[in-house]
Amino acid sequence: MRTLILAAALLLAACSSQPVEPTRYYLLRTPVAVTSGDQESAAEYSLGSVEVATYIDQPGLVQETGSGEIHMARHHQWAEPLRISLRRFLATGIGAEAGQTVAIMATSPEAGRIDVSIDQLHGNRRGEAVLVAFWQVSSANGNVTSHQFSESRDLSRDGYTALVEAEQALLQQLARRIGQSI
Amino acid sequence: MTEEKAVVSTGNRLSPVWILPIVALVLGMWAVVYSLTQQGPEIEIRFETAAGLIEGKTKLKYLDVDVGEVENIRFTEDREAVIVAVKLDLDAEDLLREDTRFWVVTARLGAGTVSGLDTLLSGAYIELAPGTGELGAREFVALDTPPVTPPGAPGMHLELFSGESPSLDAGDAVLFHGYKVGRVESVAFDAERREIRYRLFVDAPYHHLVDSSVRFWDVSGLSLTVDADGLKVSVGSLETLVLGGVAFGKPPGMAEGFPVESGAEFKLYPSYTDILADPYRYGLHYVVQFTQSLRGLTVGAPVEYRGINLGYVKRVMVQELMSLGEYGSGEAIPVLIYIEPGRLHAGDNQARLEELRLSLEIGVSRGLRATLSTGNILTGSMYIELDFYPDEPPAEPGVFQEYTTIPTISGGLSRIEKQITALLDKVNQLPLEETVTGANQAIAELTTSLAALRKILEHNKTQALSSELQSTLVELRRVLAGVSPDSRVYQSLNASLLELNRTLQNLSEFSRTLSDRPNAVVMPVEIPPDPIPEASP
Repeated sequence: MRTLILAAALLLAACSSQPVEPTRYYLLRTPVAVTSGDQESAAEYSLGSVEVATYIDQPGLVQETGSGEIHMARHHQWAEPLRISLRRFLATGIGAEAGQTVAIMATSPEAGRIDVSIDQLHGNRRGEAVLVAFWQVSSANGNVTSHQFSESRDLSRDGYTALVEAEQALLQQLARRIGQSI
Repeated sequence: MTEEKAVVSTGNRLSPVWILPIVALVLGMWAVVYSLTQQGPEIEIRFETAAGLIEGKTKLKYLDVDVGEVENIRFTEDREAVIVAVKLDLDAEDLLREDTRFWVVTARLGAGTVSGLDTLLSGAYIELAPGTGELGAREFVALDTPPVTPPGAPGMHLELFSGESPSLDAGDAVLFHGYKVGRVESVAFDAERREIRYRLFVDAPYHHLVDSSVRFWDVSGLSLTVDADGLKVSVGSLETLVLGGVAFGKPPGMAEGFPVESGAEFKLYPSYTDILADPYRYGLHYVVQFTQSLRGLTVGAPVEYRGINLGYVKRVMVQELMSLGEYGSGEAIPVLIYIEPGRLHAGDNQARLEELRLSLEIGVSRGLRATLSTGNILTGSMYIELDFYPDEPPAEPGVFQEYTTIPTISGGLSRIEKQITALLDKVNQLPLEETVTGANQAIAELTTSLAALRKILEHNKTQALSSELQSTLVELRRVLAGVSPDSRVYQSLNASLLELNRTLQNLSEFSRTLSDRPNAVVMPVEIPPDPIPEASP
């Protein structure tokens, strides 16, 4: 009888949970001041498609761990899908740089269009955040120009918060570059 | 008294006196047997003359070693030659094969060589070159002249044939790129084939240079060419300039050949230029018969298949046509053409020749026809073209004398002429008058129909129709505005999609966890901590 109790106790002990590291969520928002009030009537440009590479299209932050090997963080995640937050982030950023309103959604077919594709966004092994992106500006009169962006930025310190900060700064840089191109 | 009796003994005992003669007899017999068994074979060699040969003195040598001696010289029965009996050493038996050759070695002064000087002092001797045939021959015919090639030399024998007058002589050099690699052994005239045949020997290892793709040409003397480039003198080598010779090599653009056996036959071309003009060995003769004018078709005119040169016209067989004896019947004129597979770079050999013959035969059954085509409109020169005409009725290759024929169709201008005639015939047969009447009726009907249509269009109700259509379009636009990005339907749809998206993402994460830890449904999942991104130092 005693051995039976002992066995059951051991079996149950295996089920006991250990303290789990809490998941942290990060919000991607532009530091550009958004003024409240009426927006100008019609946007000259609107964001068309904002595509992100499949490996970034998931909640976890991505960190390179080996040559060609990445880790998708389980405890450090974006609060919103990047596809959605990036659209908002870029529209505001580009608008601020270009000095005009950029619509988040394509509204009228007469307006110019900006299509962005994010190819890489992660922390690499050298302690940097990397961003590689391509964009295409189709102006209202039918001119189409293609551009690309590839930058990295050192992390200010260890940890995911620093990675998020660096990625945010890179995205801000990208938004400015797009803004200059229109 | 006892009577004494003489004891008579029979003389059955041999007297010792006989011992000596018996021993002598045994020794004598042994000497006979010994000398008989030690005797070498005796052979008879037929010579044209016995010049330099002396009974009991002239030696038979092989590789400068004595292997026998002339025993006796006598005439043949018809007294036209001499038979020399030679006694060989016992161990020379295996040199006597059915193709063993004998010749007299004396001092000789040839065009390119001086040989046998040592015999001036020692006297002539007979040399032999053992063959490879069966053992046991005892009667031989000697060669008139020593063989040019040393007996048993490694290399390869070749045969050249030529229709030209002989320009090479035995002993002349065989050159490859100007380097002597062999020699002409003998020259003979083949009365049956009416050509000169040369026997060559190419020394090892150069005989590997000879394959089926090489061509031989005469380089005797020097050749002078005067053309637009100036005067060109070409000489094979100093030796060939004086003595003559034959060169061989692979013509440019010739496909790889295959190795040839000893004794292979080659054609001897008069010069290198002749090889360039006609480098192919194998070809097929065909006859094509035309009922149209052959004006402009010359000997040597090309035979082409869709523009690819296959061969040339050898001649117009007027003589053969006349020999048919069918005058005034408008018989087609036969033309002999020569087709060479080597021109297709497929290989110049017998196998390709057979392939070509077969493919032409199959081709004829599938519509391959020969036509006369105009090569140059200004000069009117013609060539023969082979092509497929699938509409032609199936045919088979025919026979004209010893040649196979390829069916023809009239080509060139006469073909166009025929087609135009056929077209005009068809136009003539068209029922033009009936067509015009019908068309007139149709036009009248059309006029009445148009009048009726105008009446309908002018009616009030028809005009009201267009305003109704317009109002429908306005309504449609309003409906469509309801689902534009600004509309509430669109907004709520977008929100729902986002929600779905989030759910799916959670689901995908769950499935990932589940695939990593299948027991995650009941057991708490232990997620390892994430690697911390490290800032660069």
